[in-house]
Amino acid sequence: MNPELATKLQNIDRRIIYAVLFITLAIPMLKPLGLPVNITSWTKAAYETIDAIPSGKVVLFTASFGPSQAAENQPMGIAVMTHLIRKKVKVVLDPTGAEALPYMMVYANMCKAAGYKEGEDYIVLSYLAGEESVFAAIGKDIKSLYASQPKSPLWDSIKDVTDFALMLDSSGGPSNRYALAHIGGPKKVKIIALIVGNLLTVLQPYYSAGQLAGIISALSGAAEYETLAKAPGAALSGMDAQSLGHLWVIFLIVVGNIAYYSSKKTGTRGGASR
Amino acid sequence: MKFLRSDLPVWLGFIGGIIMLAAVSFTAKPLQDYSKAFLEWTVVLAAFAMALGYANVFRIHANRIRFQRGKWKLSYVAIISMVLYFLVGLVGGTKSEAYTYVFTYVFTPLSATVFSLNAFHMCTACYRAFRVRNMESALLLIAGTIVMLGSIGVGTAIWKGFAIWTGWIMNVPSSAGIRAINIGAALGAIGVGFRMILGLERGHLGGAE
Repeated sequence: MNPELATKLQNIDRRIIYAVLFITLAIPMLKPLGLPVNITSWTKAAYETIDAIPSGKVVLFTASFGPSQAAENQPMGIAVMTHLIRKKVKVVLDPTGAEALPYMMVYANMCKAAGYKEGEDYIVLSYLAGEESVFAAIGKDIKSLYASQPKSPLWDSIKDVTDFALMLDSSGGPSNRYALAHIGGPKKVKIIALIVGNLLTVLQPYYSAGQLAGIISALSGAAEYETLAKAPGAALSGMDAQSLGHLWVIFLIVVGNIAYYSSKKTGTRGGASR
Repeated sequence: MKFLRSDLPVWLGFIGGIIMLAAVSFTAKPLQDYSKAFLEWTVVLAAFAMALGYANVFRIHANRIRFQRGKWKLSYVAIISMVLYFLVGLVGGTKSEAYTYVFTYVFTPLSATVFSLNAFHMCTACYRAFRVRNMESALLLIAGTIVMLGSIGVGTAIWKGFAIWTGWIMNVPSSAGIRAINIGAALGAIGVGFRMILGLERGHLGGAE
């Protein structure tokens, strides 16, 4: 390779990189391409676990994510809620993070729109501070922890955390591990983790060991779930953008390395992109 | 004074820690009741800690305005937003439409915008940093590229092996590494826990060990 070209390719202006990334993300957002979606075993396991819940059973849905993680956590939450509502499963929504309540209200509104009755088919608990302590207290005695929760047929039917057919925990932090430590392990409640992408590596061992019934990870996991549940939504169109973004990153890496090796051979050294 | 600042917290930590520890292994009702009460007190304490955090942020910005330090004019924005949103929550409740509206249409776009800029920074960071300079960086690059392609449908459409190898990387070497880290961290946490219960670790009391 021409040494001058090699040096240039190692120093592509970051504005060009940003502009191309912006275009690759924007085009599929405006006009979805319908690129294929890979179904991972952990998303499939999550789908099958939820699909096996009989109608009328109650699920505990805790969430502790905020706006910075909502692009990943919210589409999967909506896909799961669509599936639960379709199966007529009752839901106890529990915001365990300070910023999670408005997202829980979105799920509550989904329930309301589907004809669910508040207090009978779904309830939204109050936010309690304390993170791990809250999970530990839920495992110990959920009724005592939420003692101020108004009486309702659904809430009255819950005596202990083991009354839930499943627990879903949506987060961008360590709350899935709190749920495992204080509820999944000691109380043998099935748990599905809804997580941001970078947590998959951390939670993978728990899934492999059978401690997690399934994992829905990142926008790709949400898109997989939407595909399985036949409920196309924001994740599937977002996934097109993400796929093209990944390809652009891989292209840059390949080009950068070819240029790096060429310049190494000819003895010219390229710097980093500014 | 030393008793109140140092000895009393250590004793309280010892008693609380022993009760919580024993409640994991023994089912005696008083133990379970005390451990349950402690957990619920922690939730109450955490709520007070949040209020303290709120007051502290308020104080810092109020002082910045008072002494006109740094970008003090922005502190007006911080204080006014804090107080207004607090009032919206206080008057209408945190499940009200007004509260959700501000969160959805003001806070969420602002926060998501800042976070989404990461995608652009990560893109240039990958381009700059992922250079095969030695064996380790070659392994990192190959594993990273396979997982990236195996996670998107396009990658699998190109070659089915990407998904299979992604599964192997995630299930075998990655899981093994994370397990080792988790077990190490758990053993460390047990050690620190025992040191705190026994009063050997005093960093959390604001002093040296």
